[in-house]
Amino acid sequence: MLDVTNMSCGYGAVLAVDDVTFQVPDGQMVALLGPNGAGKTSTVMAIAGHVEMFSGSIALGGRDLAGTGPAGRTRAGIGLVPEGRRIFGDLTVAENLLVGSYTRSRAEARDAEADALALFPRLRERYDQRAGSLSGGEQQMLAMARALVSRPSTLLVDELSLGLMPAVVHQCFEALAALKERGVSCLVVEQNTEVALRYADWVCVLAASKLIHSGPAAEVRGNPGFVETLLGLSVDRAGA
Amino acid sequence: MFHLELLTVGLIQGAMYAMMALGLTLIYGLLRILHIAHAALFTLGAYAGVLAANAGLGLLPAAIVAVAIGGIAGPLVYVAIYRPLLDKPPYVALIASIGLLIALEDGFRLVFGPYGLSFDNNPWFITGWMIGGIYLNAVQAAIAVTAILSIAAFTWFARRTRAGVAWRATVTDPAMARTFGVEPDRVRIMSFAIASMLAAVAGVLIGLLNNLVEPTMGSIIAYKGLAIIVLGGLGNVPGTLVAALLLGVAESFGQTYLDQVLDRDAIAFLVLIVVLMVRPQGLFGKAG
Ligand SMILES: Nc1ncnc2c1ncn2[C@@H]1O[C@H](COP(=O)(O)OP(=O)(O)OP(=O)(O)O)[C@@H](O)[C@H]1O
Ligand SMILES: [Mg+2]
Repeated sequence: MLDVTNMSCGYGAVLAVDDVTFQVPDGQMVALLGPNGAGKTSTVMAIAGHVEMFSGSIALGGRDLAGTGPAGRTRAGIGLVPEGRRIFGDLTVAENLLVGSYTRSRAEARDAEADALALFPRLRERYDQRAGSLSGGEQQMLAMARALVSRPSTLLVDELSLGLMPAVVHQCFEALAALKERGVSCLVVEQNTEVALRYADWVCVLAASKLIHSGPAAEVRGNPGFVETLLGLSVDRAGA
Repeated sequence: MFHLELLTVGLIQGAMYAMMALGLTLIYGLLRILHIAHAALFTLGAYAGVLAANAGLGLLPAAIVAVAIGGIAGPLVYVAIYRPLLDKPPYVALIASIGLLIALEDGFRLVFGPYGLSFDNNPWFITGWMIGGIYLNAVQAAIAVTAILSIAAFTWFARRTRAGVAWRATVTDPAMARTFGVEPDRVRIMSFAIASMLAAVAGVLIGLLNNLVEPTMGSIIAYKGLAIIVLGGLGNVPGTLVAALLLGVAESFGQTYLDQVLDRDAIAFLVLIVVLMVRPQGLFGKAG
């Protein structure tokens, strides 16, 4: 279980996320939605240890992550699939996976790699190719596999669908659903509300650095326009 | 036959440049620092080699001593000079680097005297062979062999070892590499060790080739090394190696055909200026 409690974070004097509280329970998928610049990536990167937390707490499985660096958080069970994928383009697929499993022993890394390749057979075909030469979808799969080979308990996936064809997006979400079956929980940041709502168990909406909605996905599943409605409402309320 | 000889001599000179420039480009790729003081490690290696040899060690053990000292001194330079400046704008490290080069050169002058040291016994200098009509002495042969071996070893390290792959990942995206447990500071220390060992062995070889080790022997090579890594496309390892060989050959031909017009060391900068006018990103750099 990932616990984010009254968390504020940002960059120097810039407050990007203001007093946000939510949980990602074990074996569940939580979608984090919201407009551009709302603070979604900042939230994810604060959990991964890359963005400075100003106040509040982040805990994984009851263990407070304050004072733990990015590598320590990977060891603790956080798996990061960052915005823009950020695969190592000059390295081969195999080498990307090797770096992904750097916190694990060689034997553990081999097992984890076999599992990741079983989930994404396309990567097996591309195993010795330069990662930079892969298609967008394959690069996204590689970014996910690279996170998985560290055997995370919780995956953070930022803008999975960006620039990908719908079929590939579904393939990637199906992979996340399969992982969920194995107990891996997942925080997904999405612009594609419809897809996110189809797969998620819980939905959080960030707008202008604040959490403006947190509830079961089932409540809003038939209503992909709910984020816009919510934004309209919150603007009205602020104006009133 | 004459041209073949020029080509051979040029390639050997280029191989020497390659050993120096490889370290510079590694450090640039990782830290975006132009490590001018690299030349001081070259000179340090040469002094270590000549002192060890004159103390009675054979040339090979003396070279090993020099490499070991380079491998320790390089990381020390990183820890003492560059690491505290990592958050500062790049020109701060550049100025520190130039300052360090000057300080070390003067240090060598104070400690070992201004006139330089020669090897008491330099059998490689006087041993030579006619190979296919070309005369090569044993130092030239050693430069060629050492360059090939060290570049092969480096390639093996970068492609085939976990640490080497982690190092390449760090060059591409340090923050991501760190997420997965690659410690960037350790990678930097390793890069300085490798680069400085290469510089030290190059220093010993040039000391043997000229049978002279002097405080300022690194200066010209420092600036040529910069020319080479710019030509090679900053941070681009294969580009750097090719640029080094090209420069060696250009110098060797230029020295013969442009002798009246240009001094050998000016040729490097002529090549640099011409190439940068035509291709501002360097011969092998990515455009834009
Ligand atoms: N490196 C940075 N330095 C300073 N401010 C930043 C930095 N990165 C993001 N911000 C600011 O933090 C706020 C939140 O940005 P963030 O990237 O978290 O939003 P987001 O919800 O992920 O948006 P998007 O949908 O565009 O990815 C924005 O106002 C942004 O300008
Ligand atoms: Mg974002």
